[in-house]
Amino acid sequence: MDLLLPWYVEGTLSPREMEEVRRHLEECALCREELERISREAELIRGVEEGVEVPWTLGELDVETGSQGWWDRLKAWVAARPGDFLVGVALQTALCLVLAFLVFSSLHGKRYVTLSSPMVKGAQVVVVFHGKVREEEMRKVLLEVGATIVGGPSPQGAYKLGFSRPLTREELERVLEKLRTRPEVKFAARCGKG
Amino acid sequence: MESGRHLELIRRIGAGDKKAFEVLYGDIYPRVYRYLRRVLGDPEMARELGNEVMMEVWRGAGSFRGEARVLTWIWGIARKKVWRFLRGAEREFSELEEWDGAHEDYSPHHMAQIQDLKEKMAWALGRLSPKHREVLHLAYYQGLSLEEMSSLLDVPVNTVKTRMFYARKKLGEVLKKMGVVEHG
Repeated sequence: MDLLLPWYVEGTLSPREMEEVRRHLEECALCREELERISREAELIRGVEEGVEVPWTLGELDVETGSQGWWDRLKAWVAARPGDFLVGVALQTALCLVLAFLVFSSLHGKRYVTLSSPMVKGAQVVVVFHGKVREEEMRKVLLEVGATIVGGPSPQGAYKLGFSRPLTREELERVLEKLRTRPEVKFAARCGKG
Repeated sequence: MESGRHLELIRRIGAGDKKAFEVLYGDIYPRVYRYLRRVLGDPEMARELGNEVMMEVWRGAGSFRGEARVLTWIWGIARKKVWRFLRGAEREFSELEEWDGAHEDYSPHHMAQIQDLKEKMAWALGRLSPKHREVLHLAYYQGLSLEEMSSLLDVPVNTVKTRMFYARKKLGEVLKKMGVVEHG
């Protein structure tokens, strides 16, 4: 019981222990004397500690801490948010990333050049594909000859084809010959200066 | 409620509020410094470690979740630092627990120079080992309960009680040698 006296003096025992010690002290003169000694000892020690001069070092810390960097602030902000909020932010971020990926891949996936593609310098060939030819097959043909669609389709289904640079007569002839051998192509001819 | 106020300060410090840090510093630092000074017995080292403790409070405030009281958390930081520093010296100091003080100057001449009872107590405390100084300081000055001390020191409650018993016993022996008979 006497081992509890230092904390009884400070009043930091649990209520149950405080009561137990109090009842014991009523019957034990030795412990009452010890309690007196401990009280004086505690008061002296508190006085000693209060007398310890404390240096003011906040100025030293100011220089070192400065303002928290953006990463520390971000960590603190994240740590202060509730878990549900963070899950929501994570899901939204993931969704944005998925959408961005889809948009990016649609822009840079298959090379689909619109009719007004700025890369093509004028139409030099006109071609008509058979009715049942699929778009993929048309693209394959165009890739083989290095052409892109720059106009059409007309009501008759004719497409004007252009090239990355104006082709010479001989080059055009070779392209036309190649087009005409393709089963997908119904008709191919020069269309003059584009 | 004091712990609520400290919690609010920690939350603001976690968001980078330097003013809140200054307020907490004013509240906490004197207690932290005095603890370090008492255990280390060296004012310069106490100052250095005290700064390290406050820096760790500044950096760690953002991730403090409030599982413990703010003061308990800060004591944990301070204690870890001070005992890491003392680890090498701990063996030396534990030997001092057996030492009878033959090399200390308890002569009447020297003792007469220490007039004030408080000064005598301060001198006597300096003759104890860091573990004994620590337990007396935490109980009498910082007002920690048995359970808090048990948790902070990471020892069972009974160990705290016996450590306090031996600390007081040793203190009494030193004061008796100094001629301060009250604690005989």
